[in-house]
Amino acid sequence: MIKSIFFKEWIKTRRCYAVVCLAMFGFVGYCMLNVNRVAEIKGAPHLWEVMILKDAVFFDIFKYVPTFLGILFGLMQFVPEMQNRCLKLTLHLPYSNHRMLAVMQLFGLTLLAACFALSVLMIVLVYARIFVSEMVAAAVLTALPWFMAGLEAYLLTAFVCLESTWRLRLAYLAMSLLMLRIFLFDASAQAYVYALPWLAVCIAMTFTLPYVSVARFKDGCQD
Amino acid sequence: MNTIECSGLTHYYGRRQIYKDLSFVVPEGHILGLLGKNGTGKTTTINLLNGFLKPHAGQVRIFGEDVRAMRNETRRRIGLLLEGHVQYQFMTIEQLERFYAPFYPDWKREAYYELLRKLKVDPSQRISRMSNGQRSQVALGIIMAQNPDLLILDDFSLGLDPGYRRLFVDYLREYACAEKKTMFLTSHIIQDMERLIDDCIIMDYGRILTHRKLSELMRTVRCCSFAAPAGYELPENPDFYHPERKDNRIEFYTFLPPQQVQDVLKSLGASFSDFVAASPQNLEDIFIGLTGKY
Repeated sequence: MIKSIFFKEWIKTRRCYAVVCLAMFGFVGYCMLNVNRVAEIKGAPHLWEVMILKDAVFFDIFKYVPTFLGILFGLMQFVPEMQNRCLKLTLHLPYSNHRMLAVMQLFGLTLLAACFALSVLMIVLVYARIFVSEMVAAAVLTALPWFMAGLEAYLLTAFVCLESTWRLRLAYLAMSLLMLRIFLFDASAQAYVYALPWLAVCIAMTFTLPYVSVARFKDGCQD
Repeated sequence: MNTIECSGLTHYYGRRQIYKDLSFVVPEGHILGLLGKNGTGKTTTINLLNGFLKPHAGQVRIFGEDVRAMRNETRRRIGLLLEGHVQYQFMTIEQLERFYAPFYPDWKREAYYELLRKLKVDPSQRISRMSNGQRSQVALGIIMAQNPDLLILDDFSLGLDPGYRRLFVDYLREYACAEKKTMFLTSHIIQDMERLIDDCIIMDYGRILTHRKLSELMRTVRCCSFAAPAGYELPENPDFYHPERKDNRIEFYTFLPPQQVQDVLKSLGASFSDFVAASPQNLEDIFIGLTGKY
């Protein structure tokens, strides 16, 4: 049955996922090509100097991209469930509603995490040729909260989409924007090193929020 | 044995009471139609039966289990048709079948495709690109393949042309009779209901107006009329439904036998002559007679 749920989610999101991957790899690829080009023209020591003295990571351009892609993917997965109250079909299936929602969210998280992990791998592979391992780690630690923001944005989108009244949907939206702000607060390199475990806890907690929306849907709280 | 048992259902939307202390049962193998004007609580009842609404008070039990805490094995025995024949729009006919099949151990693939062969549509066609009629057959095919013991159908005629409506009703009737299935359904097209149902609940605002066998309803309800002088108004009586003046006659519907009606009229001091008690032509006449046009 899990395979079947994954099948449904895949049909909904496969085109969107291609767009998500293309956009993510496009942005990361562009940044990496740029870094490579500068390294070849001005030499790696120049990049080292800028990175250490100016706290630069050379890929700030995609800071908000994972967040937008997380929202896009969430919309593509959960909006069809709410069209014509299709969610009733899903919740009527002879499968635990709690497990159903968990599988649906895990599907999205897995695909997004795979895309983000490949992006991190691209950064590591390119940076490892130019910088020392400490600098590569610094770059990855700078980018990690942005990717985590993408996962958080995805879960919050599910939370907002699955809510069935506009009044609360707007309240959840405002709350979600504030929560996302926590992930994207500081742009300086490695600003979140010590906060990463807390961000992970935040994501784990956000995983439970769509259950509130579904419980309200089942109680008949609808516009 | 009862398949559906609703007891003491009370529900409000905000301060508006939909109904209070509503109770009814649907015995196994019966086809029950729920009739009511807009806003009388038909969809509310369907939502309560499906477990998509928490009543303020009361309980719904299906196959002996509370619908709000139903086991998967029990939910598997219930086929659900949502208003508008809603199905996953983003899937094709083939994908829908592939998706649903693993959830139902007794899945009848051939039942699904047999029904859909009549549509002459490509199995790779997406649901969103289908007409209402075609979608209704897909939704029906899914239910047939599930082979449930109870079918809950919400406004199954909605958006269907006469051909598809007839096809839908005939298929359901044949299926229910052959397999002794229980059905609970609503529709605004009362002719369709009449062809299908054994029992009938007519809802009025906040209450069940009547719940009885269709044959009994057709036999019992009378459309009575009498000649009355101009300006005369029939005094209110709970047994006389929606009295209406038509030219020089007053017409109303009642469950009482003709002789008793005349006795009541006399006891009310009504001035009447040329009393006529006729059996209504069809269920629609009975429905409008008992619930009124407005």
